[in-house]
Amino acid sequence: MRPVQFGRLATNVVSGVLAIIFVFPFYVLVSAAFKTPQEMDQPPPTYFPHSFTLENFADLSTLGNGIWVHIGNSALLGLITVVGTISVSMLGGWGFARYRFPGQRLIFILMLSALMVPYQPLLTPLFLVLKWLHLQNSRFGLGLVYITFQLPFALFVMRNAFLDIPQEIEDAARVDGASGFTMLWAVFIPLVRPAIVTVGLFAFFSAWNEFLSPLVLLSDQSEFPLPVALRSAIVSGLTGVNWSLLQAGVLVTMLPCLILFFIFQRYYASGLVAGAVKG
Amino acid sequence: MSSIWSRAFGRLPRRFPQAAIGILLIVPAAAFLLTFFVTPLVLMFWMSLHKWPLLGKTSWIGFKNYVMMFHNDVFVHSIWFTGAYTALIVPLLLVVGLGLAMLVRRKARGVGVLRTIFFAPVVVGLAPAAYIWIFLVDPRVGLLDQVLRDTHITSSPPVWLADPNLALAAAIAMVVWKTAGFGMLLLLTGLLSIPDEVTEAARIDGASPGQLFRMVTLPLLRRPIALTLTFSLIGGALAFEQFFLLTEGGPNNSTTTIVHAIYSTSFSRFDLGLGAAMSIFLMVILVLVSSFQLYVLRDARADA
Repeated sequence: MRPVQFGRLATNVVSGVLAIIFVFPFYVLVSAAFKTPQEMDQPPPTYFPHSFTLENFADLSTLGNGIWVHIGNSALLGLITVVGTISVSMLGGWGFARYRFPGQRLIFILMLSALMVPYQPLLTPLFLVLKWLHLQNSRFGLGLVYITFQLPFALFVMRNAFLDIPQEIEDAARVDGASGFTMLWAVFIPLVRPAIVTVGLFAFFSAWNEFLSPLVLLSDQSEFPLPVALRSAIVSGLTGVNWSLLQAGVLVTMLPCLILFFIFQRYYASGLVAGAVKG
Repeated sequence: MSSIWSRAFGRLPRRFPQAAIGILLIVPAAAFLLTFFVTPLVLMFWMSLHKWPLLGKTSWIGFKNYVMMFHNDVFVHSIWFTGAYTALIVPLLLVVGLGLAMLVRRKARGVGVLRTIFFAPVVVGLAPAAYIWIFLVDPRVGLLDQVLRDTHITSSPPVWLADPNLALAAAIAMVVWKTAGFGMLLLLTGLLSIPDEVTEAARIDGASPGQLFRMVTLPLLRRPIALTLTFSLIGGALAFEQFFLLTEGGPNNSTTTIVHAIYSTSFSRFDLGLGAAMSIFLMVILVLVSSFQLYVLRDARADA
């Protein structure tokens, strides 16, 4: 074999092996979610399910306060975070990019510098701040916290998008009589739509997947979002971990993220790179 | 819709000076950041100087919390453990990320599918990923030990999560699976931005593939490499779910991370002052890492 051919073959073999390793946990998850609990609890584990059942998904109604409660909590948190982050960062990006006011640069840099402090160290004092605002143990209060920690990145993306709009377009629209919020609604929003999708996607993913802050800031199981609620399949069972329930629950939790990712792959990847390169 | 908007707000520009409109537009963002970022930041310093129980009276104790936290065995051990975890995960994520990026750089059939496969775990949350891996490494019903038995690598595979070192290995494997695709994406973006002429010129000058990689590719990847490193450094310092869910910090607090120690101190032992002091320690580390990132990237930009 010529070296070039050998190199190509080696590359393909390595790629294939790595692909199998990366898919394996997904395969384990999906096959477990559709195995009967009897097959799941019977060692040794089977590579290929001998049984197929939807029973685990029906049983999810016994997870925590019932899976629908937790799906609802996660969806509500996602909605608050997405709508809040998009609106607040759009107004801010508009203000920073299309208007001039004293201290503008400094304020923008200060807001961006919040990126240097992640939320984890701030949870202890945030717990008190929410208590003072009578927002402790509240999904709404938690949503406000999520919005805040999305804002620096979202403002950065939005400001750039608004900066990219040529002045001529704004001038032309002004001649046509557009001003104020008409300008935003009819002229700017269609032009910054990619930024809106990026900001919204990231707000949704972080709200949907967040684990530590709801664990700290919510105390009532009925308010728990999915990632925290799933823990009850591990810790509450007197009979040990309920593996079938846990894997079916994980699949339900993961599915919206994977679907959104496949639909918006382009926005997601470019957003990640943009967010990383902001420096 | 737009007519309602304009009737309500449309005349703003004519009544207000432009600067006032700009300021009004950033007020909501400023309000959020002041309430839920600046306030807790300041409060954290204030709390750290107090004995601050969840209920009952707080009392000023100066810098005692800062002294006490370094006499807290769980916290001190968590610093070492988090450091060890970070020291292992950072180079691993870079090497795996770079390897994956080199593999999917080619233009060939199936490369797009490979990119998607390697990147898909990134969109899964850390907690759901941990739930999958708890199952995967379970000694009784998990498939990992079964694979080890069936491939005759060992006839008595380990109970991964019962041993601190093996639990660390399991958590590292999980995090590499979940986040290597992110490094791959950053490095791939860097690789694809290297012009073909540059590599072609080096090849014509007689550079071997190894030389090409070391002397052309790597230097041009400085920026994405620095980014991948700082992201994994920060992720390492903030490690929580991967151990909290896999081992609950055990056995015997041996896999308790800094964030986990803060969580227990503040919300299980309700010593919020001590938790705040520990948080400040963590925050200082993170700000140092971020400053390092800014420094390296500024340097890289000056080179380019």
